[in-house]
Amino acid sequence: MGKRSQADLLQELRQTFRVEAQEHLHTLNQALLDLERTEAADRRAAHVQNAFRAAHSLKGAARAVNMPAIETLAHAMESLLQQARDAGRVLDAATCDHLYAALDTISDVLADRPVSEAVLAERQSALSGGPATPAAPVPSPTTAPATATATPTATATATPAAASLPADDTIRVSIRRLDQLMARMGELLVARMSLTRSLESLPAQREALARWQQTLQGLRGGLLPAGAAGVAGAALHNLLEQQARQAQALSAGFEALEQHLHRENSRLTTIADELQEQVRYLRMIPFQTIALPLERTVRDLSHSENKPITFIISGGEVELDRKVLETLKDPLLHLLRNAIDHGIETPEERRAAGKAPHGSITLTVQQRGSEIRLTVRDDGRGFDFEQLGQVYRRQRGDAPLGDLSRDELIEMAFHPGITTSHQVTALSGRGVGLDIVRKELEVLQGRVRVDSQPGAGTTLELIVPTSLTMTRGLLVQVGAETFALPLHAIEKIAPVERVVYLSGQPMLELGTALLPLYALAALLERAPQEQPPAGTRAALVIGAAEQRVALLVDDILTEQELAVKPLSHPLKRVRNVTGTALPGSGEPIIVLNPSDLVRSARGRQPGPAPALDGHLPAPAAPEPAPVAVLVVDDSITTRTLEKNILEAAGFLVTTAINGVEALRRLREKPVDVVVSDVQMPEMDGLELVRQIRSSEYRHLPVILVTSLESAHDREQGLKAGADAYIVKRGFDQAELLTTVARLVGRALP
Amino acid sequence: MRLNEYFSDEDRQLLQARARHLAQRREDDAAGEAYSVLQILVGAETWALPLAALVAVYQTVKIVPVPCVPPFIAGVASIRGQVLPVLALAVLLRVPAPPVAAGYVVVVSDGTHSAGLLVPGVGDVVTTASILPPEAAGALSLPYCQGFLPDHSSLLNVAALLGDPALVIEDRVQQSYP
Repeated sequence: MGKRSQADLLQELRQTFRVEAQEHLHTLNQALLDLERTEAADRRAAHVQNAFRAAHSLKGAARAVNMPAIETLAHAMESLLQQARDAGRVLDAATCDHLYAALDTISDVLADRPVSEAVLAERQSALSGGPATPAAPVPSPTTAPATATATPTATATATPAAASLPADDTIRVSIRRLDQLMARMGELLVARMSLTRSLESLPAQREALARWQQTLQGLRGGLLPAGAAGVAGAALHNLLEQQARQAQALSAGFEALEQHLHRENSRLTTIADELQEQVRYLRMIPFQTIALPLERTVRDLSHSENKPITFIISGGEVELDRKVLETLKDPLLHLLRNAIDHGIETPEERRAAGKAPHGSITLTVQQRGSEIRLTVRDDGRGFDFEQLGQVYRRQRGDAPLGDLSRDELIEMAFHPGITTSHQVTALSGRGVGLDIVRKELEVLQGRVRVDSQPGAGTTLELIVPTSLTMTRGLLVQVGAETFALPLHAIEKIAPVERVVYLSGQPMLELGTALLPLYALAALLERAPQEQPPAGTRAALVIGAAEQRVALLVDDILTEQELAVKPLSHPLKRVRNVTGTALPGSGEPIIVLNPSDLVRSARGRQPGPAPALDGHLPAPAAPEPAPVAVLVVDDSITTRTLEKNILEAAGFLVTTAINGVEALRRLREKPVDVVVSDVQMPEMDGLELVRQIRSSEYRHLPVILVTSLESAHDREQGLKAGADAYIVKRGFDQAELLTTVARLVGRALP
Repeated sequence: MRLNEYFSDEDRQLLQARARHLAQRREDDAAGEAYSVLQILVGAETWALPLAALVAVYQTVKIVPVPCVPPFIAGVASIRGQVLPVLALAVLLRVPAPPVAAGYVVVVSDGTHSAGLLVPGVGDVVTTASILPPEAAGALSLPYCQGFLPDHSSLLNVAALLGDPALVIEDRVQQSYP
């Protein structure tokens, strides 16, 4: 057995320490936030005590793993908190700032981010220096003008779940293990579904058995009248009698077995379903695990911007998949920064506008089935639509703005480089607008809705799935194929009743709104149908980030829980496709990517109703396009000869006299295959092949035709990248034609 | 021996494992002189698939087409609870062949990746003593061909096929603004 070195041991210890230290930092942050919004002296003392204990533990642990920087800072924090606890030192906003700064520095050290000695010394002196005990022993948060205050409801929802659980009740399990468990669970479900399907075939078996019994019965009955005669007749009769009894017993046994199997299967179904639900929830953690950094951000910004703000989070107990939650953190931080920087006015401005001097931001988390709605609402000044329009005009040229609706202007706020901030501040206004939010939401396949009232505030609603691995999907039919769309991306399913055309683009009328309508088949590049299949055609209104479109499908089949897996090599990423799911039927279902679909729809050029192609009266069956061949030869005789041979066989031929002209022809009009001479002026065939291989047409098949026949020349040609090499001396029609046909993967026309 | 007509899935896999094992041993013994291959029929051509790269052969597996991919991707199929991509071998080998909706799915692996190959037909398992180098083809440079058997069938280079970066599809829809 290998002996572990001292260094290995320390390394391992430090890993453990990191986890522990994070918990202490969490406790400290939480206690300080709680402290700042609490006025009652006894509760303040309790928060100070919590913070002190965490700082003390952090110091001890840091010493044990020899991390002096953290130890020193923790020690300074501990001393300061001790003074507050025992000597009545006031923890005012400025002192709290020092404590928060020290916590952030410790975070940096933990994450191996570079922290200079100067920063460490500054943090330490800020904590140990500063004013001593002032006269007033009970501070009020309102004495500090820039303090973020919160109503009691905020503290009520901000209790971390972990703190309320005794340490012995929880263990750490790696995500990898949970994923393995989830994968096994999926297999169990598939097995169960397949069992159910087998059971469904039992009635047919039972009927077959019953028919056999009837046949036996009939035979016996048929024999009876004649049965009086002979020993053989009696023996046959007995035999049939015996067979009928056996069949009877078999039938009874079968029936009992069938009932038993059904009972057990439904029990298995219940257990498997429950188990699946439980396993799913293992990956889920409550929203409030990310509440703390959000609260810290609001608190810090409200200080630095001098805008007192009441921040309330409600619904912190709602559970989400860990990955979804992690991905949500940045967009939420961004929205909060935006709300404070652009939305909430200064106390003076608010008073002038007849509002309370404290701004208010609420973050509400709600679960609706398999989706989570996060609503960020502020009571600030709202979107400046006029300015948004001006910015848009400046950035996109002189587009007429008169006809842009408020919704369209809001949509623009999500485009890169759009901001309405007058000056670049530390917070935002750096031209990084809501497009970040859009990008993160697309990763989550979520969508966003915005409502903004000038002067009254802005409400942003983010809608995301609770989990990315398990999703409820809507199965739809497109032609003969079945596809799944994640339910959380579907806003509504609407009948296709009224369709109007706006500059050639079909639009679905939905109440008072008009949404662009596209055939899903067309977006998925499916060949047009000869006739629309029977079925209830319906439109799905899907949203990705803030954009919405309606998709026409041939039928809506069912709704189903799906475990979505990415496609595997060589399918790294396929446009419009998220992955596959393997439901009980055992056949894979393609799960579509709503954000890609919205983009595909938006990217389509409006024309004479292209969005619905394949769903209009039957177009003529498409003829396969003729194979285009480019013949390159400096000899007019050879050129004409080859052109004639190929055209007679149904190919479409263009010609060029040397490599240079061939490249020009290729750029003008792409072809399917090139047939080229080797010896040519200006640019020979070998160079042409090399050029093609290093261009965008690198996959284009090239056949070299030449009078040279040495092994060396052939080698040169193939080395340059030619796909085939034909020698002119043995030039016959058949060889040229079969080689061309072979390289374009098509039988001879 | 026609693989699919006489054996169940399990038996077939067991036999294949044995065949692989035997092939391996012979290679060790005789410095790669003997080689067991499965004949696969692609259009009018016969190709040979080294048994060492063969995982399983399926005859009645449903191939689900994937939208927005080039023709060499036949689709995906569920192979023992795993969804694998299925490549249209005829398209990749540029063999003119009528499009097949159904056929055999030959599951191959290079140790890193696994994929199904859609082939119109499967032949016998044969053992060959010698392999001719690819240069024996003369004029044509055949893609994914690592040599020829004495009966002129081409030996499929599974590693080159599964490892070909040109086959990797990584495609996203570009964002467009009004």
